[in-house]
Amino acid sequence: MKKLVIALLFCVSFGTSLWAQSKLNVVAVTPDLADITREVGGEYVRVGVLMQGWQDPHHVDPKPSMVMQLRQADLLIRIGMDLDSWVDSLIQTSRQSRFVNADSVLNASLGFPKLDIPQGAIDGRSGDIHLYGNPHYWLDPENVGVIALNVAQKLGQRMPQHADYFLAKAQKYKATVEQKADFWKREIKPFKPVLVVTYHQTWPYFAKAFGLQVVAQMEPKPGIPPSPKYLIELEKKMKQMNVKIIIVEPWQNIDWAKQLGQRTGAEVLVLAPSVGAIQGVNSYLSLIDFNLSYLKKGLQHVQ
Amino acid sequence: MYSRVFGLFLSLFLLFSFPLFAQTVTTRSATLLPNFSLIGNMNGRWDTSPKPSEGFLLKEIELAVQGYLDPSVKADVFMAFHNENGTTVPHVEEGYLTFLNLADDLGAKLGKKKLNFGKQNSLHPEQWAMIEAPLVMTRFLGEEGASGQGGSLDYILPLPFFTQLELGLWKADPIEVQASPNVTVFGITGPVSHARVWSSWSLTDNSELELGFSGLLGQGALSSVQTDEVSVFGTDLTLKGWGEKFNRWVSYTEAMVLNRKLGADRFSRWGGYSYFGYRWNAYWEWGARVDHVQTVDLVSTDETKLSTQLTYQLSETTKLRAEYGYDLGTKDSSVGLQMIFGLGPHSHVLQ
Repeated sequence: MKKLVIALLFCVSFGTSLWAQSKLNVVAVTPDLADITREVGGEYVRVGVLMQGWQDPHHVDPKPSMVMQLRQADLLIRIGMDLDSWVDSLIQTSRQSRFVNADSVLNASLGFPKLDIPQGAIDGRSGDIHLYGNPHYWLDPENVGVIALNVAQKLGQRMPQHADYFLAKAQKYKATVEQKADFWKREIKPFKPVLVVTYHQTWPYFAKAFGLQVVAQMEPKPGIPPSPKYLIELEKKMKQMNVKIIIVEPWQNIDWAKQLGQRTGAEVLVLAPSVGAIQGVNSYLSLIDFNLSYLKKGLQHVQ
Repeated sequence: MYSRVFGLFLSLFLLFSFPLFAQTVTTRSATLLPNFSLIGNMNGRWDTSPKPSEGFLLKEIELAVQGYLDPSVKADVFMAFHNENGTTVPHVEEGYLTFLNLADDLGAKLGKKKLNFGKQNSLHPEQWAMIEAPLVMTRFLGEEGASGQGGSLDYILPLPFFTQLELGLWKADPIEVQASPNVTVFGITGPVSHARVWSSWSLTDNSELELGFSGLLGQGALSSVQTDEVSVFGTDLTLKGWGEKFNRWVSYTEAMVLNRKLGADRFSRWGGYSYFGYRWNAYWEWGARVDHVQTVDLVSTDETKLSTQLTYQLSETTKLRAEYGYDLGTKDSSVGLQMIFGLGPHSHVLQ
């Protein structure tokens, strides 16, 4: 009887440890990166996420509970480009130096060209500008394909026995995203040229991907609120150039955008800069569908 | 006794950190330049009490140099330049090394540091949601709070929620006071041992609860002239909630009990504060605080103060703040104005 109990205990503990090893614990900083990782990692990863999609990634308060998520993670997937520098304090508190080391961290911003890279010395005169360029790169589906492949490579390093599986999943996901993007490019094409004003400089990658021309931002400089004088000048510019679309992030002052829209006859579109930013946008593929279908409706409305 | 314990701590630290030093040599070539940043603190205070008002002046410049020495060791140095009666006084406000993992889940700090006691003591003024520090902090721990040279070990307990235990041994700076038992200046000095337990629970995706318990044993300001033994115990509760857009509310409540053996006398005092703040958009935050504290003298008097704060966040590192305070005992009012500005990638550890 005693031997049976010992054998059972051994089996349970061995089985549990095997089960625990069978899945890689990954924590992604944003829901977008988490969604891509789930798609690539499939059954071999368990993915957690630090911030919510409805939060502005520039203004996230790190929480002690996030420390626990980090401690349990084998791999951390970061936005990079200084947008998630708040994660550094979590790493320090978590005592996990493996996240200082590149082996256990994937910087998702690597492997594709960046936009809006500032030239020369920068300081507060440029607003809250990012030294390494505009960090909202995931809004270009082409970049998401690259991220998926990078995720596959990183997961493959951690679980070499499943490297081919991850690569196949990433390639399939990349193809699906590109297919969807191509569909929407065709849908938007008849409306070109599509001139837009955006609230913050969130959308240059999105604009590049789908052929929009960003004429100006509602913020005079990134992170600097618009003054009445600036909005009057912007109104004139929008009328001169016949700009009929204003794109706003859900967390910005939508009333200001609506007032500008009323004065210029432009349609105000609250688009999803991240998965989870708007109810129903639960995956990156649904983010593309939501943003583009809404944009198309807006364009039809102002035609 | 303290020197023995400190010696033991130092020996343990050297033993654990030897492999880390070895790593330093091998990873040096990959080390980046440190981050340099600067925080300026301009403030002024005008009040109706006999206490002289202070003009709106640059009171402090803080220069920070921060960076990793290797993947496991981070260095943070904060140099402060204070304006004291027209003279600029430089000093090292904090300068310490953080060892991320001496062993599994065990970290350490070594150097000069603000003690991790309660919620506000370890924070720098630019991190506070208020201009004036909570009364209980300045009355029980000293005008500048409790700080010292030494080291601490911190350990994340193997629990399903975040709980960190920190134990430290420090040598606090001496305090210059008059040799009289009735002085109002008070602070923690001499050898100090301190402990803190800090737990946190995520209530929902949008809210977090933190609970802390702190304690320290040290000496009072008069220890150089007579027996002045002090122990302080405190508890702190923090609630934070985030709404969609930039909305955020935060509540800090902290209470402390101080026991003092001054010569042949023994007495206890208590104090605390409660703060509530609400940020309704990316730029504006309003707060209100109530403070109550007993003075740490032989003959105690009670102080109760109400204050309210309005903060405008100009950019990520720059803010303008106004504070109105009303003393319920003396009926005096005060108005404070503060401008904090920052240059460079300034950062602090999660507190």
